[in-house]
Amino acid sequence: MTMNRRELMETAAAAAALAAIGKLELPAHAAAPVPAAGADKWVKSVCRYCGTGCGLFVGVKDGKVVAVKGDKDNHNKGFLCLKGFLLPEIMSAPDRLLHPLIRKNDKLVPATWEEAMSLVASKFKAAIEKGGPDAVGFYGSGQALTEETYCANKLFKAGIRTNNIDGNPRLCMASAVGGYVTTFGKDEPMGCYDDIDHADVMLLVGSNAAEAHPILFQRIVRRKEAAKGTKIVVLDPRKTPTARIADLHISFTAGTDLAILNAIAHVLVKEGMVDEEFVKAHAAFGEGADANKTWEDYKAFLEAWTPEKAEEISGAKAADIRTCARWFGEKGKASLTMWTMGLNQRTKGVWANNLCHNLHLITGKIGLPGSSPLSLTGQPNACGGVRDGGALSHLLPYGRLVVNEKHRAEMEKLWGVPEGTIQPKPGLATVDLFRAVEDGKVKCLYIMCTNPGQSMPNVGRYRKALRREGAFVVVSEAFHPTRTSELADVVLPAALWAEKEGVYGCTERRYQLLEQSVKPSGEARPDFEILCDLAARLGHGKLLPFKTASDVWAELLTVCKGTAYDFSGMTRDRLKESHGLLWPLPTAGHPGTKRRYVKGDDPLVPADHPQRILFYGRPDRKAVVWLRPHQPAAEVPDAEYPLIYTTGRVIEHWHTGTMTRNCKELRHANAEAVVEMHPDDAKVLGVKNGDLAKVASRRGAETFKVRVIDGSRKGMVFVHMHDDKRLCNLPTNDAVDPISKQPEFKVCAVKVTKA
Amino acid sequence: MMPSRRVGTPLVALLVATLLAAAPLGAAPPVAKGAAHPAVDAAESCEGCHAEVTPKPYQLWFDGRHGLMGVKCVVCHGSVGSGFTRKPKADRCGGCHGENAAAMSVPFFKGKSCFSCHHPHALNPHVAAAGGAK
Repeated sequence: MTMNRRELMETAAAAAALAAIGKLELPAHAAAPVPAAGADKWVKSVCRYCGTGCGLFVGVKDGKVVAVKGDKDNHNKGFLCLKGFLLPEIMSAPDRLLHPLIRKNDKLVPATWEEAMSLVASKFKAAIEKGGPDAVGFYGSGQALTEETYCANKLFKAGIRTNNIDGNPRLCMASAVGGYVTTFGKDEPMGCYDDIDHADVMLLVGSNAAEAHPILFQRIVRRKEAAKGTKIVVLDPRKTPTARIADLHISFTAGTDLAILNAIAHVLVKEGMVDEEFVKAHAAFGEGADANKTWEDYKAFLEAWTPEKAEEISGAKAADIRTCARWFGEKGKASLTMWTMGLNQRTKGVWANNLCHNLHLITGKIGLPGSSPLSLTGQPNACGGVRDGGALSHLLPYGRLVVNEKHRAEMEKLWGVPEGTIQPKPGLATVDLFRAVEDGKVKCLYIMCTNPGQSMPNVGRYRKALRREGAFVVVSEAFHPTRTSELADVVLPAALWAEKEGVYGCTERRYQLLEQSVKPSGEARPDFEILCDLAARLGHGKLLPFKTASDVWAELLTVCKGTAYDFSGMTRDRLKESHGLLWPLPTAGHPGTKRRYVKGDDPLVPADHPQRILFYGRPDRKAVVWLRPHQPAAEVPDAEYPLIYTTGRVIEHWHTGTMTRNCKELRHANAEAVVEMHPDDAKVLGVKNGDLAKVASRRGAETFKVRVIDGSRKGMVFVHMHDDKRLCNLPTNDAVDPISKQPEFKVCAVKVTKA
Repeated sequence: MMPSRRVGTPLVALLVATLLAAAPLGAAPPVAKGAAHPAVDAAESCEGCHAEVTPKPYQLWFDGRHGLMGVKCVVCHGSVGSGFTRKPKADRCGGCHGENAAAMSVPFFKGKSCFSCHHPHALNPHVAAAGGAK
């Protein structure tokens, strides 16, 4: 029986009446299960979920994961969020895939590993023979271990010789990468979590950290409690749980924050809160793709971006923008900006990232404790595995680029393959990769550790592509069915989290080892082993000769050496002993680097450098302040589709819910995605809490129950992203940022009707 | 095992009644010891309902640190049905407070739980010790 709120309240009322009668005898019930205590051993690991990278210990009893506890010696100081605490339940979930599956007569049926791998190898060989290397592709994940992603990257780029290898970080972090690279010349933040403990002002832009990064949010709260006067500004159209701690919550029309960020810079300049000396020493200025402008050009550009103009465009109050700028720019105060998908999942995502960096560069509030632009990552190993490891279609490992001849030559030498092996043209980025499956150019696609059948924007289109006649889709996954594995031709059972060993790299350049705690379930195998097997079957066994994940790591230490990422001092033994290490870490004795580009901290900055900071990522040793005007989203509301549609997380669930839905506690908490809307919009639409509403865009439609809440912004509806039954991505827009190729999940136009 | 709708409401009412009779407001949700929590609408969150049906414990939790930090009902109380735990044991706290939870097994704390000293919903330090659950 399902009891709705009214029924439960009626029950409570009835209970109150009964209570007045007197004491009642109760029937006996089974004791409620709680996480098992008394583990035989505790194994050091990292949380499987978000990009915070919380350290934890896995409790093992009789070969099973029975508990977790936070690692008090790691950055999370022993704390875990509710999802992390419930991790043991995902290991023995009823939908764990325990043996390979092959599609026969349009049904997925059990098969042996030999049958499955032979079929995969033969299909890939046939496609390559007929259509060349670019007839196949790989779609990876910011949740795979670094060693696994590296094996895939090497196999496809140096073995098969295609750059058609991309991954889900393209959907979440590509614009942050584009922002860091265009501004600083190198990817990845220069700051760290420790900056939260020193910040006087924290600007959260497009980040609902309270739900998406709960343990970082806790750290922000602790800072606010410890240092009276700390100011928190939350820039978000919705009044999210993060806004509970905001001294200033600035709501605005989704997709207009570039105007606000420029207006903040306008106030900083107008009111003399810039650091002229820092700008002169460390900043270049640019427009378009070139650093061809001056400080004076930038100031002239900002003239038009008044808070009043930003108010006109965004709906944010000019007075609030001024307050935000004055707090941020106050001399002597440390200012920290943090952002997530609200900025990245946009067709102007790179520009939005640039504008955050601008605020720090013109005020000189960068590279100091508490002052940094810190992009928060969504997945546990998007940074370490995919971004750093170079497993995107335009990248090679550790900052190298496919288009750069010298970089290709370096990698060919390191990988021991003939000169000219690596193709000079970037492969297909995610949306283009799935479109190539759709039009038959890519015949075989290998999907590892991710769920694009649910998570792609405009997902209905790409679900059809994956089932297209002639397409051959392999999915390596720990669970089945997922909304992707149900579309596959072969599903390979992958070992899950505590069943394998490898490295995760989180938001702050922190690399951490997940030690193996238990044996893989059923016939599951670690993805690294599966990829080595596939390489051997495709005739590339020499490229992946590894017996263990440690063997892969040993090779990675040589591949990163001499790059800006240099972590060659991070041996496996050191990772085992440590509770996370931050790169650069170029020698065995080096403690790691809290703040990049900073003299005395970053080993890549000469000790005798005359200034406190050196932006060594660019040839001119400067960071670029970009002139980026506001531009609207690719699709804005109109008469036919009058509302803005956006999506996001709830704290109980993670990504597409394949893991969190397997926790019995979470299946009953916010499990069903709802459409949240403002009371005024609900009134106009004639809907109330619990009613069904159809949300339709030009691309697709889905039906959700309505939740009317004051925290919504009028004119905008918000839908949770984790529900596999109600696909929030049927309406979303697959238009991409021209620089990062990241889709605009966060803004599109919809119409909502009572269903 | 959920009771059917026809018989379920009186049964749950009975359980809730006992709780209301026995427990001080703010001490625990209105479900009796050992009782199953009724099944819920999957589009609902725990706090969305309990803000109305058990407003005092909800508000104590919401206004406290655990409410602010997103340590939600399920962490201590588990799931619905037979997975529901009315009185959480220390290992529910152990995910984040491992050392403190482990310390509960020493003789000094015999007969005590975390909630002997920490209010079960406000969960602020030593409120109960200072004057009992409010």
